[in-house]
Amino acid sequence: MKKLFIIPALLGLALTSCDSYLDLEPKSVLTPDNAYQTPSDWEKALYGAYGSLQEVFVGKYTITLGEFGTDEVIPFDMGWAAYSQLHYYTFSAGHEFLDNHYRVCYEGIKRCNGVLDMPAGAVSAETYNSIIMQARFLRGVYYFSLVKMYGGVPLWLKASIDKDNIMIPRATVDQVYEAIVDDLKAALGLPDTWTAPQDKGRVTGSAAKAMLARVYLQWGKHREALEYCNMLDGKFRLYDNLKDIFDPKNKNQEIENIFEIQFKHSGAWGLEGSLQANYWGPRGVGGPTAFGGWGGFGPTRYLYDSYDAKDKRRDAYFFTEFGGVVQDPPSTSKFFDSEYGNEIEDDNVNYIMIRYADVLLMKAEALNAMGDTSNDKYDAVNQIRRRAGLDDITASMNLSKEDFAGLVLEERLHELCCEHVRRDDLVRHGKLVEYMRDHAGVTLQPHHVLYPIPQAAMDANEAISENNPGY
Amino acid sequence: MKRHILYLLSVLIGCAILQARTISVTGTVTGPDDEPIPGVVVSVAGKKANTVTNVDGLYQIKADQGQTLEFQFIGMARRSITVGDRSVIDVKLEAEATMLDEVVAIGYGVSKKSDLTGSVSSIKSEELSNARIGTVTSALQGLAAGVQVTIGSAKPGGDASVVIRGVGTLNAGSTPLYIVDGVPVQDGLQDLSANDIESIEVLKDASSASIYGSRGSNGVVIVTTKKGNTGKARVTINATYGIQKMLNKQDLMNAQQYYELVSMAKPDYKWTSAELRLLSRGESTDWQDAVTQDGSFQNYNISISGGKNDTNHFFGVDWYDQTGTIRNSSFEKLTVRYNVDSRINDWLSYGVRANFIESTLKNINEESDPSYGTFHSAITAQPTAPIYNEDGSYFDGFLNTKANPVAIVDLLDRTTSKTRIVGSAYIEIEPVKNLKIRSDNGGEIVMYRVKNYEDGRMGQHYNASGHANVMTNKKGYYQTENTVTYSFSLTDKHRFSVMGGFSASKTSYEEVTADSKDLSPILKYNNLGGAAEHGPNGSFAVSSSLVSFYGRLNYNFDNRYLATVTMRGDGSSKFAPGHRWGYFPSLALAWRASEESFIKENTDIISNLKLRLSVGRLGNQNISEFAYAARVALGGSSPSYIFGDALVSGSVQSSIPNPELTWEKANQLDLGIDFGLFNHRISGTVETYYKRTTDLLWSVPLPLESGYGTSLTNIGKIDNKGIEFTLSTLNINTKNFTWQTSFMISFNDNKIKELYDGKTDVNKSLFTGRPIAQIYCLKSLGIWQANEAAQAARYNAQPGDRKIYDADNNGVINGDDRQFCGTYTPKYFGSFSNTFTYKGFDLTAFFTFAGGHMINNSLRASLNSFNVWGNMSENYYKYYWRQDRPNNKYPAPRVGSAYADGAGTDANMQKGDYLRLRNLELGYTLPDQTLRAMRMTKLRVFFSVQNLFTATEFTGFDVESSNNTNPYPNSRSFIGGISVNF
Repeated sequence: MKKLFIIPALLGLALTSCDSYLDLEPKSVLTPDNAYQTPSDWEKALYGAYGSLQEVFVGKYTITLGEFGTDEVIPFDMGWAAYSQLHYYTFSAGHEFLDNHYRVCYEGIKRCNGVLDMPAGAVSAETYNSIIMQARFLRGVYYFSLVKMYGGVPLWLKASIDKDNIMIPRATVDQVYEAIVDDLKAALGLPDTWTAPQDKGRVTGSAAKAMLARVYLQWGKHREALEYCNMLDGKFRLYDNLKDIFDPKNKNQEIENIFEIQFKHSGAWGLEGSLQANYWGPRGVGGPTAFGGWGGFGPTRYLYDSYDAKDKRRDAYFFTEFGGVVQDPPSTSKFFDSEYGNEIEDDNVNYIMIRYADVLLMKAEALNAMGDTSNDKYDAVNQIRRRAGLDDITASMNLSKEDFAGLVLEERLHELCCEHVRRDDLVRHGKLVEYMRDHAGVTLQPHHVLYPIPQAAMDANEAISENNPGY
Repeated sequence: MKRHILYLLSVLIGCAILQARTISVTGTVTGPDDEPIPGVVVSVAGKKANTVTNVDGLYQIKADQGQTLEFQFIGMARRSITVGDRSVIDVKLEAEATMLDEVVAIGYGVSKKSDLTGSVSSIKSEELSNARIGTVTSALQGLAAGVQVTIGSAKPGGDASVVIRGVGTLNAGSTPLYIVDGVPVQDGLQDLSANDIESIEVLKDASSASIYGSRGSNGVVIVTTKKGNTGKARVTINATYGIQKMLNKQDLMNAQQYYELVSMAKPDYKWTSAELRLLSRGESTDWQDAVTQDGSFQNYNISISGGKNDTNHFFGVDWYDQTGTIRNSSFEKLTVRYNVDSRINDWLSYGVRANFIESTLKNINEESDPSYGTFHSAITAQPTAPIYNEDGSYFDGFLNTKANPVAIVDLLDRTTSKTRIVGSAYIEIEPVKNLKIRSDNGGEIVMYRVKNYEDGRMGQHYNASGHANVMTNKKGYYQTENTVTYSFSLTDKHRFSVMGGFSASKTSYEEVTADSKDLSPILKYNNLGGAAEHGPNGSFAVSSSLVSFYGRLNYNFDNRYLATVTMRGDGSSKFAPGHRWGYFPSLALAWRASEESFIKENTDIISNLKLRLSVGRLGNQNISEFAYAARVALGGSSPSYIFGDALVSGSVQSSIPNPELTWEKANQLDLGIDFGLFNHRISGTVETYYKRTTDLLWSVPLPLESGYGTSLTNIGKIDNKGIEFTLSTLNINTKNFTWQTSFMISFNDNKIKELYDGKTDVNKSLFTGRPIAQIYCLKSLGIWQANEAAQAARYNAQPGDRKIYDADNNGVINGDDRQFCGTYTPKYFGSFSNTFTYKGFDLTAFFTFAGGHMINNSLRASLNSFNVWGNMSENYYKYYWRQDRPNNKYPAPRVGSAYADGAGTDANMQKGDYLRLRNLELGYTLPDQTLRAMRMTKLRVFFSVQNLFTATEFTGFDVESSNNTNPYPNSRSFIGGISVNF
């Protein structure tokens, strides 16, 4: 019977050690308790907020959203229903690209909010302000991407989550724009340029100004747009050589290019390389490994044919032939990477989100819309035209306000084609339906200027009961 | 069991000491009807000498006094009689008491089948032979009511999934707990050798499974492996060989049909010169043929078992080698087992279970985007493409960046090697009679090496200079299980058995990944250091622990009334402090009505009748570690960015905390009747259950705007109700001919009872009052016809486009028009088996079936609508909608036609009902006389056809496949084998 004493002894031993036996710590992830302790930890959270830029603007799916369904770009791979539906406007709220775009935008906003809720004493006041300003800029551009696509969307401006109050209804378009403008203005205090080489790529005060101009213009507030355009005069100039704008070797020079989303060749797809070279690359030359594109989409014949014969941009921005293969319609050369373009989705091309040529054209557009009678709007457009080898436009041509607006829109097409702005331009000018009918032969309805709120977002948020009209 | 062995031992030892006289024993063997039975095997226990009764039931055998004669005949209970002074021993055999007094494993102990109070299905090793190809898990199909086994992938080494009594969880996993010789094992039974298995018990109700508490809610599968029996060593050799023919090859367009259709529907399509050359020669590439072959498989198995003095041993080696029907896919596995049990003295014994498995899988391409998958590529590759260019290199002009399917099977190397070591050692002391203290300590180590080499020649989707990666991981699981069992009787009629125990376990997992590019195509993944580019590399580690106390009380009154009470308390590291402990009680009662005198004395029709009732609570903790905590992920491509042309690694909070997270609970009620009639000629079980799962561990969707997809929360209720019916009959039982039938059918009704906050649906994918796997989608009404052009225009559609049901008739097709379109989960499933024996021949036909569910035949999206990504079905070519040949099935080949591919609609849904002849097997066992001459105890040869036919409306590759986009085709297998014992 003596052996029986082992049992209570064992049990007793077990009981006392149980609770500590169950206390384990995560080994491969951090928790909020240990993730944000040093200034460098908060920088890391900010990097995460930057990381979303790549997904929101140059993701596999999101790359198409500024261009598809316009007269400028056509999907050749019509077999992919997601492509042809965007082109022919036969998509529904369940479209996977819209779903993806909506999610990555709000993922970015979540990351920004996490940074913005940083306790004031966590880092030095200087670092605190810098981090907050950068995060607010990023949140602003993510909301801007949303409001253009879907109209008013729910505004999430805090990181903390109250599970009982999680269904937030859509704000109005104006409310979203106000929030965007607030965010971007908060970033104006950032340096106009970062001097240390390791900071190149961070948001600058200039980037905030340029984006404010773009946001105000899209919102229809021309005076404010003009104000911010003017602030950039003298800080930036146009490259003389058109090819210099897009050369990966000229990254972050801040000559013409104001804000660039950063990419770097990384040795494998899915990392920090960009996929633009492959997606836009010349077709029919054997795919990316021969510096070619997947062939999924590219510029339309209409775009190429609309250039004046002596327009230098027709040669500078297009390949009519590549590696012996005729490109018909010509493919764009803006994203060509002679060094790494032959690797799968891993090129070294930054996405130039906004550049000074755009600012000049916005300036002309705003001045014209405001009924300005000075020469300023002609000067602005002519800077672009002269570089392209085209003749000046002058007041003596007696262009009506509408004609001038149309001309600026045409100039934007020729200067900024394939840079993900065409759809916004057409919507802003109220020309989407007309141009798609006339230039692409696609009939669409007036409600198509907005995309539907993705079905998954409708389903998950009880506070959104109605989709955009027409959907 | 122990007692039997002891008894046997004492008899044997007694014999040896007595050195008894040898006499010649004769006698007549008769059946229950007092008719003599010929063919009864009569043997001396432990000796190989045996004989068979003649036509008059007479036998004659030499035996020593004190030795035991054994009488065996199919369908009759085996009888043993000790030889005394009599030289004439007449024997009357009774119909076999259908396994009523078998001993079954019940978790931390065993029970006589007649004493069971809970719902336990017991499967013997012989029954596993209906699936000779595939894993032990897949062999369980159709063998236990309420246990739904689905062969998810027919690839070599592919495993089946098991759901017991319906899915009662949303995110916590519905896999049952698998226990092999007391050790919970990862990934089910896929690595076991069927030949090592003595029995498999499936614990289905709360009473039987609650001894496993927090891990029991999905049911428990207990495997007991063989151990040696005292006596002469037995050697068993099995050899099996088979070939496999692929089933359900799809009828696709040939090159000429494809050219004609694409030229017409997309005139600007650019044909490559290689394609035009192929077309001009009038050829066509059949890519399905190009990547497939006849598969083959072989399985060899040797086991040696025996025992001497106080030690018994079992040794088994099993080699399984299968070559798939897709070229360059294969699976091979070596299993070695050694089991030993030893009695050291009259109060101390110990034993060891050791199992070593090494397997290698050469897989097809199953990368996350199924459209690059091996077989999807083969199905969709355009038939106009040649396999090779004129210079002999692989043609690489496939649409949508696809790779050359033949290049994939030739060059892609995806090899998974696995090493698994499972083992345990127990020591048991019996300080006083019937008090057993046992400590069983063991665990398993599972190591994977997932190696992958992508050759640049496969095409543009792959890195031109080659890419390889290696992932190695190790899971270690260690446990200690300590129990005390005491059995006692108060009077003759009150029998008790009490068990109490304590266990602690720890699981630790770690993995390392290395990735390199630009490397040698010869050395592949075996020399990553020689590559030019490296990274990303990664590593991951996590661990969890579980501490438990448990107890069970069995009470048996006069073999008529039985009661079982169990209780388990589990503490798990997967939950936050304060919510770690869960308690899982259960109660079961049973009444053996057939033991009541009023039945025993008044009827001889009823040979067994038992009514069972059980209630209890089970748990589920099958979630990832630290799910309760807010987690901040560091690194990875998404939160990382570039500054100054250098990588900066960011962090992002990936989940929100839920410190209240705790067990998912399943309360279950079970009512069962076991019956046996006419001396067990008819026997069966009818059982009904009601399982309600509450506090579901559920990743509740958050609004997308939160940036968090979901948050794991204990919320909601799911009901599973079902009826299970098992019947086995011995239809004919004559001298030379027997016919046995068994039939099993299970119905399960799965319903979400409650979501949260009074919601009637979540994300329009889960609905209260409907099953979890509810399908909710747009309804395809066919095709807009020419005379409906005006109506179609309302939806921006044209005649020839797919017509979608506009439920609210508002002129817009959107999410509001979705309808309930069936469920993916079968409403019923089961099996039907007939076994005939005639003299030495045996014939088995084993059918499985399931029905009441839908399958998304996702391949139809691209095969039955026009696409310029690749090939389409021949039926599409023949029957697509055209003005001059309108139909209501296949949309016109119009680029941009909405819903043409049926995505988001029910157009690709098909009924999943099927009846499959899973195994048809003919065997022949040599007569004993012949065997004796050959010095064998048994020799059986057999020929079997698996999947001889399947009746179903489903037109994809396999009605049970879990992946219809990149499937692995199922096959019909022709198998021959031989089994020898000596």
